[in-house]
Amino acid sequence: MARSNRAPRPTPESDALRAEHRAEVLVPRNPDLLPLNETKRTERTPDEVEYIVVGPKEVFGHRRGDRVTLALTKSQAANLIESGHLAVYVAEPAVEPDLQADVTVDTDDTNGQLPETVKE
Amino acid sequence: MAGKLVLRDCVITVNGIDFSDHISSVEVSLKKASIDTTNFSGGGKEQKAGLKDDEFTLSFQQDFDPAEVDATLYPLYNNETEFTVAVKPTAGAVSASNPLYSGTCILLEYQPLAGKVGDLSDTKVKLPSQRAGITRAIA
Repeated sequence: MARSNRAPRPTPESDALRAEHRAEVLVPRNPDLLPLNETKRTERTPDEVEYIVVGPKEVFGHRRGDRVTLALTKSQAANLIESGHLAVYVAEPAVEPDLQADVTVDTDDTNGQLPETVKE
Repeated sequence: MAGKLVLRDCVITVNGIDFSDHISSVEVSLKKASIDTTNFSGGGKEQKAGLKDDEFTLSFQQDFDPAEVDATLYPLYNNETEFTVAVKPTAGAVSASNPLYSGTCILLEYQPLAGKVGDLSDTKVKLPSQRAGITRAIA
């Protein structure tokens, strides 16, 4: 019996697989493979980070001590931090009200003894 | 602002940092390459505009303090990263009579120290713009 060189008949499952594969090829997920109009030379829009101005110069119109939320690229942020203009702002941990109640200072210096009554 | 301008309060920012108090001269050069298209239909040359070759030239008064001139320019040179440069003629708001020239630049040459005895230490840097060149905004 002669063997058939024909491909097996396409099934709905195989069609779906093929479509998925085609989509992967057409829309590469690796940013290095993006088409030229979505150039990789410019970095992607970065997330906003809160910085504090620490240098003597105005940075993006903000003076020393100002807290400023900026969407800088990694390289921009690295340059500005390295050159001493900005620092990433880290908020001090807030003390919860319950904990604050627990740490009230005992100002009673009588060591639990009752104070002497004042004699007239 | 109206009429002829005497430069007094140019605002110059490099990578978002205002260096107006450490810069003594500024040049914004807009250039396009000349492509020769001369032919037999005239008696002279003919040219077309080619690629943009814009650049800023700034004279910095050198300062080695933290977060000053050298501390800012050296990382830009050493890390080979792109940064924005923006220049406007006066400190006023950007408008048709106070346009903002800005571009994404790169620092390819940096002379941190040069000068003779008794001179103010200054350094002239050329900041060629990348791709789109220098753009002009009036609002």
